[in-house]
Amino acid sequence: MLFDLNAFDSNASTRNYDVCICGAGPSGITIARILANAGKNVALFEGGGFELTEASQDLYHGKNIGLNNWDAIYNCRLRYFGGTSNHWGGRCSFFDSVDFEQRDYFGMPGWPDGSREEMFKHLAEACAIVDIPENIFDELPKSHWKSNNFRISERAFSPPTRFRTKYIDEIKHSEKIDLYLNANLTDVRLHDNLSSVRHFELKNYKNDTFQFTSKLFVLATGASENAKLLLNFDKQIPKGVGNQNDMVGRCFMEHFNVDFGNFIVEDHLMWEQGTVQFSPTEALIRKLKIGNAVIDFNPNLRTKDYGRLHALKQSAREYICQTETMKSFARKITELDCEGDGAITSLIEQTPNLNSRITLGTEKDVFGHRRVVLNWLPSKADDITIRTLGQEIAKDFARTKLARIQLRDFVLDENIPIKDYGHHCHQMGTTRMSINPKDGVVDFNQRVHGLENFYIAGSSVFPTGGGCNPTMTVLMTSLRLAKHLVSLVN
Amino acid sequence: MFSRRSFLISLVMQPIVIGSMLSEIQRNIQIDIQPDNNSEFVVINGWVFLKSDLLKMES
Repeated sequence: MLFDLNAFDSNASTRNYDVCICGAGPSGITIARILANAGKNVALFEGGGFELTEASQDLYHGKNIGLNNWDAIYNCRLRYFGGTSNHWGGRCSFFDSVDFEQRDYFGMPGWPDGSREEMFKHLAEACAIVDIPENIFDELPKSHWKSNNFRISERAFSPPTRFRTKYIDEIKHSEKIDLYLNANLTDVRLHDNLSSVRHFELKNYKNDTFQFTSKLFVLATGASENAKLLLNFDKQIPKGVGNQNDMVGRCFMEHFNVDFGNFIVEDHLMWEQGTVQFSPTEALIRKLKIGNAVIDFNPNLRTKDYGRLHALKQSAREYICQTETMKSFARKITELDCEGDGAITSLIEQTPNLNSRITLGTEKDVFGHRRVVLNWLPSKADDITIRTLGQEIAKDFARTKLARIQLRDFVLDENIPIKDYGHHCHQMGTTRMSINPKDGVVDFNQRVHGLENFYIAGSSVFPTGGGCNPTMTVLMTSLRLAKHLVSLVN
Repeated sequence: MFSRRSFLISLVMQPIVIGSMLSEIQRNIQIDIQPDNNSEFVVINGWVFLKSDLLKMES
């Protein structure tokens, strides 16, 4: 059933729900569907509607005081039904085994033991959700190129699946899911003993207030809004719900997108199809104590201005300036096309960093919630990962005659600061999973530490971010959580 | 693809442009890192080479 909270009568009685889920993005929709298929009654709340509106998107506005002066949350995320899947690029890949290991040099605990096994039980279902065959990773082409230090990254591409398009009819017509649009979570009220959630308080855009009760409650609004909401829910617990150990909002992680430099293709066979992506082997990650990554080698299939071509053109331009003769010839040189050069970009794991965090500012949104202040910060360990990866892949490619790499100065010289870390709109880690409540916000089952019936879903629970796009991990963890909730309701 | 005219132009221009490129590189050439004498790599203007490849080029 579909309801618009803007048109909802506040006196209307609501059904008794087994589970209330806030956030109708990939995670929330996935959990709702699994519960409904198991015969459970679900209320699914979406702060926006079926289309992007400024009224809803405005709630993402905040301040960025850390890396990169951009409105990270407003620009990266979409606040309407289907969530950020509505502009997802579709790349699917998975965490490696090493990503689940405890890496002391990260300074914080990683995924709890058993996470990998639990997560990958749901691989087939996650693949079906994003419309890729389960065995697609077994069928990826093998390369003639061999190296002990780097490997070609496994990946597959979803069409990409837009959750709004794919699931709108199923959810609209579901007898078990009540979807409420324009329903903004404004408070989580706890029972008097503060050990469990009593009800969700929601508001429409007319500022009418509604209460919804259920056995279990799930917050699935994304890494930034999950933290924003928990920190704003301070009426009963001054530090915010789930924030008894001051961990909500901490360890905000992105994937760095560092421009390592340029390259000239030597082994042309490798780049016949365009961009090739490489990752460090797990042995190299362990040996050098670095984060995981994907390094993209993007050859010029059309003319761009990199490498040798750049040098040639630059000389021609200087020639034009210095002499009056043969100007037209020199100009011609600057227009020449040539293939074989390319640029190197990356997706690099960020280590969990307590100082990289979301807090609240003083400016308030339309519901009276304080807006987000994002202080996204790299650590020394991240700089080591970036420089080590750049140097190692350049050496490896020189050794294996794959390509000739020209590294940027900051990769070679640690005294030159890294000016642009780049980003991927992969926001993770603000309510991290931990065994010890002092290290995170949720437990192994994604239940908020200290609360009996309150769960968090999505990338905010990632203790580490791996070296891959997060969508498949979000889906697999959400599937696992959904089945856990089914067993609890039973 | 190059047109025949572009090709002829580039043929004429190559010695001039590459000559100026080389003189520019010679002025600015620097060894960025020399990790140690035992390293099998050398870095010139950011380009990472195997030392053995450079020796082949010289010979």
